[in-house]
Amino acid sequence: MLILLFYIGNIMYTIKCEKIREIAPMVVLKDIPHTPDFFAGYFNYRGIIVPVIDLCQLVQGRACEMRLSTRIILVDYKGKNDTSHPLGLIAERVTETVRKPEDAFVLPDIRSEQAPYLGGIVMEKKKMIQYIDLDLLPNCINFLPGGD
Amino acid sequence: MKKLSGQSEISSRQPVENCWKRIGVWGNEEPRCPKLDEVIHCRNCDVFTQGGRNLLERNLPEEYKNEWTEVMAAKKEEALPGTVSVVIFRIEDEWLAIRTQVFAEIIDPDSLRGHSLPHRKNPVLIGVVNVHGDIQLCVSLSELLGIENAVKKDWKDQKLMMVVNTDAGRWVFPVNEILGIYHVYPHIFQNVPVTVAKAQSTYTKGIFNWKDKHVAFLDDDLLFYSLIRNVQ
Repeated sequence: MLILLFYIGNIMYTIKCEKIREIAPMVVLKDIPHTPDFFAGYFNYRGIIVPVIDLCQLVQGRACEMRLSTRIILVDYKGKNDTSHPLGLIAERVTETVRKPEDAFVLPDIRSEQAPYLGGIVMEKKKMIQYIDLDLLPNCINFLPGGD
Repeated sequence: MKKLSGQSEISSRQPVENCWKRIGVWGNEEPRCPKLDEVIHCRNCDVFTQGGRNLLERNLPEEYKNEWTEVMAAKKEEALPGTVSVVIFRIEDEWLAIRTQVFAEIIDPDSLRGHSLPHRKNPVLIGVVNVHGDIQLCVSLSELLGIENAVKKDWKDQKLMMVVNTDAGRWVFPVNEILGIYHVYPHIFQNVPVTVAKAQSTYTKGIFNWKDKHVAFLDDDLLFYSLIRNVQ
């Protein structure tokens, strides 16, 4: 299975590529007032309005550094009634993908109450990388369409 | 303040190491890089990969976000399915097209050293030319296809040299103008009228209209086959 590696600060995270629609460069986003800090704004993606979340802000409480390698990962997530919604995730150093067998994904028993979407672990060269579970992410960010 | 701290982090991260230009495959300093034994070529080496990655750790250039915002907001132009990619060019008064797959490049004839071949009376074979250090045969498509010259010209006066790649080697031939690479639908190809007796029609797979021009789509397999026969 192909996974995308990226960074939030100095820590590497990953996401499964099967959920990814496109990796877009950083663009100007439409800022919406009175939304949480991690909500970066709306992205005009080929005429579709896509909400974009700043993963650095969500996980570490500071905005992503604006570098060439900072990109928007466009994903599709399943909301209520199995409807699919596009979502953008800003992350740093989005430059690499690797292949991993299915059994490299481990789900530990411990789950963070605050961030259950960061539960799983992938082993890569003896390093542990947390992967972002897209099925759980929208529920944690309850203002997204299709969340609970 | 945050931005400043980010920049200092970058500059401290990269004491720009370009070992590949010194002791790697793009350099010739001794002693050679010890890692080369293992990785064979610098492009397989972590240090080289990291060097490339560091290039992406620069701050966003001005206008970068604005430009990409426009690109991403536009509808995606998808390659039309079932089209043929062709290069359209002109020889004398005739507009011709050839598959893009065989097209290699366009060269300014001023930068070419050409040489005629003595004791060769074949009008199709113009001579040999030096293309990037390789000697290639230069042929005249207008002679082969029987395109009549509006004005008789010496081949050195042609504006452009077109290079094509085939399984049987490279060919260079003069053309007067290049329109560019275009996608055309195969269904707009029309058959060549059977009454046309010119040699050109043999090499033409079909004729299509491009804007206000009639373009003959050349059968490259047959064309290069007969070129080989012709110059032997």
